[in-house]
Amino acid sequence: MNQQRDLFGNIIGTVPKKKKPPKKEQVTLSFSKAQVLDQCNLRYYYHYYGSNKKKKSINEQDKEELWKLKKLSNYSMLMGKIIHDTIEIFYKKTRKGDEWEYEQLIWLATKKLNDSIEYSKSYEIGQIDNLEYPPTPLKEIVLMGMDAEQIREDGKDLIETCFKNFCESPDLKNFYWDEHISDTAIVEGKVFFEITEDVKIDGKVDLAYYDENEEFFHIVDWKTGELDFEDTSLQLVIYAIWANQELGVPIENIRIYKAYLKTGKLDQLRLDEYEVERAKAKISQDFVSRMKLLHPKGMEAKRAAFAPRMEKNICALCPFEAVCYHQN
Amino acid sequence: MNKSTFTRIVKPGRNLTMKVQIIKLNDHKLSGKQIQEVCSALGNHHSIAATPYRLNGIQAIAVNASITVPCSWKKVEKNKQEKLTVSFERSEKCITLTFANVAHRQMLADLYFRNLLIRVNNSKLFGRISSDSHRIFYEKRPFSKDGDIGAFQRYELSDVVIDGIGIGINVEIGTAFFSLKTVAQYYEEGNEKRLHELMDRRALNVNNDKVNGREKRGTLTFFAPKRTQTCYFDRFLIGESCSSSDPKTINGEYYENLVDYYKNDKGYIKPEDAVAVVSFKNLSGVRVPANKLRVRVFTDKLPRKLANIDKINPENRRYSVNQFWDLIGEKPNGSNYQDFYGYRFYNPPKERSGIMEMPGLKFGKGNEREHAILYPPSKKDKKSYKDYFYNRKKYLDKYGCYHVPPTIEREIYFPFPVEANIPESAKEQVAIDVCKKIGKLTRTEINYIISDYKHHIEAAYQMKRDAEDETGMTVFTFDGRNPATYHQISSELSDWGLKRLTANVLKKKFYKLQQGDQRGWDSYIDFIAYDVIQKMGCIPWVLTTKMNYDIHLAIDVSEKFKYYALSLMVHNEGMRRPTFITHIHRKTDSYNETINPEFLEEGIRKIFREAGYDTVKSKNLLIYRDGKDCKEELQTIKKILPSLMEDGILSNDLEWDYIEYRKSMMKSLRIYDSYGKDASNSLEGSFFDVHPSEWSLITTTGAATLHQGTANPLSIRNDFTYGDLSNIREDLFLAAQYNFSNPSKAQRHSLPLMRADEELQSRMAQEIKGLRIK
Repeated sequence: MNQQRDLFGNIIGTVPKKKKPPKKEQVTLSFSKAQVLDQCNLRYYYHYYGSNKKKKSINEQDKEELWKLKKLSNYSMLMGKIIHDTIEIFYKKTRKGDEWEYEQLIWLATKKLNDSIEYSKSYEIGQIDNLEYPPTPLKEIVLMGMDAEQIREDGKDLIETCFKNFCESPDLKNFYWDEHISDTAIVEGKVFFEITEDVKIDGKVDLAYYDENEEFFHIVDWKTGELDFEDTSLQLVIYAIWANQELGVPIENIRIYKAYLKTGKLDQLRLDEYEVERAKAKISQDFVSRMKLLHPKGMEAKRAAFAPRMEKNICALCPFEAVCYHQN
Repeated sequence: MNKSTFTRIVKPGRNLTMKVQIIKLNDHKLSGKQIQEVCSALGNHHSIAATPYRLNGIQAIAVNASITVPCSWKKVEKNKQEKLTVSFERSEKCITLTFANVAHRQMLADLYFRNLLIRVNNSKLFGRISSDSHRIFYEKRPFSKDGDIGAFQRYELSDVVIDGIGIGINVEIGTAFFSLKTVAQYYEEGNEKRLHELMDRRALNVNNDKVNGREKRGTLTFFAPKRTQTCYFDRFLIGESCSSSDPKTINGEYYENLVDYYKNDKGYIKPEDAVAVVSFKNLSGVRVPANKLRVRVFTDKLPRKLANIDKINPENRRYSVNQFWDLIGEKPNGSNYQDFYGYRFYNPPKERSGIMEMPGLKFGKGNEREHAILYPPSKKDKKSYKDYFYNRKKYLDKYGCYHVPPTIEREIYFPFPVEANIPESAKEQVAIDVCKKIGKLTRTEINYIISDYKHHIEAAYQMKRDAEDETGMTVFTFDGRNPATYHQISSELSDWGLKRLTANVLKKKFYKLQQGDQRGWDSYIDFIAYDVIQKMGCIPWVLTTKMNYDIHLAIDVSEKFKYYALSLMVHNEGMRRPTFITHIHRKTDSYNETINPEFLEEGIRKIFREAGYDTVKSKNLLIYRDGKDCKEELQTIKKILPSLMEDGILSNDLEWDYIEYRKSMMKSLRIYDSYGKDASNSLEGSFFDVHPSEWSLITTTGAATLHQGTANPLSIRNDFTYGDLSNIREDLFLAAQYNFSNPSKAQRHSLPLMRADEELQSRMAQEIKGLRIK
C-alpha cells in the first residue's frame, strides 16, 4: 500500500497499489508436439500424458503399457530421423576437416536402418535393454507383421536417392559444405526462445548459416517426402522469427527453404512481416489455445476429453493403436 | 392463394407400394457405409437403384423386383489399401414396401430418388462434378455471361417423405459461375493477374510465380477425361509441358510424364500443353494439364451484370424447375416405377401450413417504465408487414432503447491506421455521427476519442492505458485483409466491446457521402450504431408476447469445426427484459463436428452459472443445435441438466426440449405463395409442417422485407424429445423478432443463434489459413 500524506506530511490514508495483471500461463511448444496434436488429440494424450512416468496423469490405468508403446516409431519417421542424423554427422565431420563422401553417407544411414530392422525383428514390447543407444523399433515390424526385407529395400532406395541428390543436385549444391557457410553454420541447432508472452518455442533447426557474400541468413529444412508446393511453412517462419529475435537478423535478410532430398528440388518459401504476424497468430489459435484447454484434462487422465481422430491412415502411424480404447 | 413447394409427389401418394427383391450380402460383417457402397456400385455400373435393407437384423439391399441384377458380387473398400468382395444371395421371395409402413418409407424414397438420379445422369443432358454431391447437375452451357465469366444453372435433387402424403422429389435451382477461359489461356495471354483476381489470391510474386494469396486458395474445376473434379490452385509451371513433366508413380504404375499418363485417352492432351500443379481434397502437389482447368468464381468476384443473377425469385424458380422436368421428358421415373402426379407441385394443406402471428414490441425511453408499443400488423398482407418492419426502425429512433445499462460507457474510442490515409474529415464524421446516433438511441451523451496509430497493437495498449486498465468500447478501424491483425486486436481487447471497421469501406462510404449519398452514409452509421449498442448491453426492444420457453440455448459449431458457440436467452415471467449471453469456445479437435462431451459439459455449466438467478426461476428450456450428428451431444445434455438442477443452477422441475435446427438443408425444401400462374414469397412467419409433430419448415424472412430471391426456410426436427412442435416453431419465430442489427429487415434466425453465428464468423475471420505445421 502507498501512504497518502497531507500538505504537511502527515499520513492521512493509503492508496491501494494497482495490481499487476497476472502473468499469462506459459506453454512450451515443440513442432513434434504440435504435429501430434494436429493428427489426433487422443494420441497427444497418450504421448504427452498417459505414457509420461513422471507426475502427469497419475490415474492413468494403462500408463505402463503406454510407456512401452511410446518407444515405437514408424517407417516414415524413422527414415526422416536417419537421414537427418546422417546429414548432421556429415556436417560435424566436415567441420573437423573430415569430409565424407557419398558412399560413407550411404553406409552410415544404411547401418542405422539395418540396426533398427534387426532390432525390431526380435523386439518385444516393453523389453529393457542394456544398450546405451538402442535402435528405434518399428511399429510396422513389431506390431503389424509387415515384411522386414521389403521395408529394408524401400528404405535403402530412399537413402540412396536422398544422398545422391544431397551430393549432386544442382539445386542443393549451395548447402554443400563450403567456405561460404562453414564459419557460421548451425547444424541441427537447438532453438529455444519466447515467441510471445505466453509461448516458448522448443525446436531444432536443420541448417542455418549467414552468407557474407549475399548478406543473407539462410534457414534450410531437409525434407524426405514429396514436394508439397506450400507457399510457406509455419516451422520455417518461426525459425526466421528466432533468427530475428535472438540473433538480430532483420526479417528481410532471411531466406527460408525446403530442400527436397527425394527429388533434389529446392523450394524457397515466402517470408515477410506479414507472414511473421500470421505465424504468431497461428500458433496462438491452433496450438496454444488447445494445449491450454487440454492440459488440465491430461493431468487428471481424463481420456474422454481427447477426441480420437479415427482415420485409418492416421491410426496406422500411431504407436498406441493397440491399446487405443477406440480401436478396441 | 395456396402455400406451395417445388416438390413433386409420386402417385398414388400415401398408397404407394413397390415389390422389391431382397439381396442378402454374405461373407462379411459390413458397415452401413460399405452397404451404401454396394448400392452405389449397382447404380454406377448397372444403372440399378438399390437401397440398404435394414429390417429383421439382416444385412441386405432391396432392388425393384422387376429388375434383374446382372452380377453376383461387388467390391467395396475394406481400408485405404484393400478391397473386399461382397457376394450376393438372392431370395426367391419378394416383399412389398408400402408407404403405410413407417419403416418402409425411407427405403421407398431412396429407391425413387436413386432411380431418378441414375436416369438424369444417363440422359447426358447435364454435367456433373464428381467431388460435389452426386445429386447436383449443371447445365453444360452458360445461361448468361459477362467477359470471361459464365453463369451456369445448377439443379440439386432431393427426396422427402411427407407424412400422410407420400414420397416427394424436389429440385433446387442454383447458379454456379466458372471462368470461360482455362488457366492455360490466362497464362498464354499474359493475363495471370486476372486469373489470380478471379481466384481471390492477392498480388503476384513474379520472381518465382508464387502467389501472395495468403488466406484463400483458388478453387478450380478440373475436366479429366472421365470425370470432372474440384481442386485448388498451387502454381503454374512456367516452361514445363505435358511431355516434359516429372515422372510419377501412381498406384504402383510408373509414368514418364503426363503424356504417358493420359496415353489411353486419345486427343485429351497434346505434348506441348502447359502444366499446373493443383491439390485435391486428399492429395496435394498433382500436376495436371493447365488447359483442363477452369476457375470456380465466387459471388464476390462477379461483375455487376452477374452479381444478382443467383437471386432467383419464386416465379423464375418455378419456371426453371418446370423447365428441368420438361427436359427430362415424360415418365421421368421410367417404366418400373410409378410416375408423379399430373399436377406439378405439392401444395401443403391449410391444417399443415399457415402464418404465425407477429408480436407487439415495446420500446423505451432509456427507461423501462415508460415505453411505447408497436402493435403487430393489423392485416396479413405485404404492405402491413412492410410498414410494421419499417416502424421498428422508426420507433427505435423515436423512442430509443427499451433498456440501457446504467453503467453504459460514456466514451467510445475511434483509432484509425495512419497508413490507410483516411481523411481527417472522414474520421471525425464517422465518430461524431456514430456517437450522435448512439446518444439518440440510448438517451445518453456519448463522447468520442479519436486517435491515429502506426501499429494496431500500440493502439490497443494506448486505449487500455487511457481507460486505466478498465474495459471500454472501441470502434476500431483497420485493414481488413490480414486476419492476424484482427486476431491480435481482439485478443488484446478480449474484454472490451470491439466493433470492427475496415479502412477501405469507410473511405468508400465517405467518398460517396461527399458525392451526395447521404442515405448510404446514414445507413452505414445506423448499422455501426446498432451493433455498438448491443455490445454495450442495450436492449432495443422486447416482445409483448410471452414465449413458450423461458430459456433458449443455441449450440452452433463454426465452419471447419474450429470453434463452438453457446448462446443463451433467458426471459421468464419475473423478468422485465431478457438476458442474452454468448460464449465462444475453441474446439480442441477440428476433425468432427461433435463437441467433445467433457468440454460441452463445462461450457454449459459456465454459461448457466453466468446467467445466475434468472435460470433458477425459469420453468422450461429449449435447446437447439444447428448441425447434424448431434445425438452424442444430446447424451451430454441429458447428463448435465440433472446435475445443474442438483447444484441449484436450474429449477428442479425444469422441463426441457431438444431440437435440431438447420440453417441450411441438404434437402432444399422451399415454400412460397402460389395463385394461378403467379408465385411469390410467403409472408414472414409462414410454415409448413412436413410431419405434424416432428418436422417443420419456417420462413422467418419473406415477402415484406426480402427484395430478391426466394425465402430460404429453416428446418426444425423435433424427434429427440416430446416438445410441442407448434410451441417450438412459434418460439423460434418470436426469438427471430429481436432483429436488433437491422430493425427494418426480417431476421432469419432467433437472436441467440444469430449471435452465436455472428461470433463464430468473427472468429473465423481471424483464422490464419494455409499455414501448416510442416
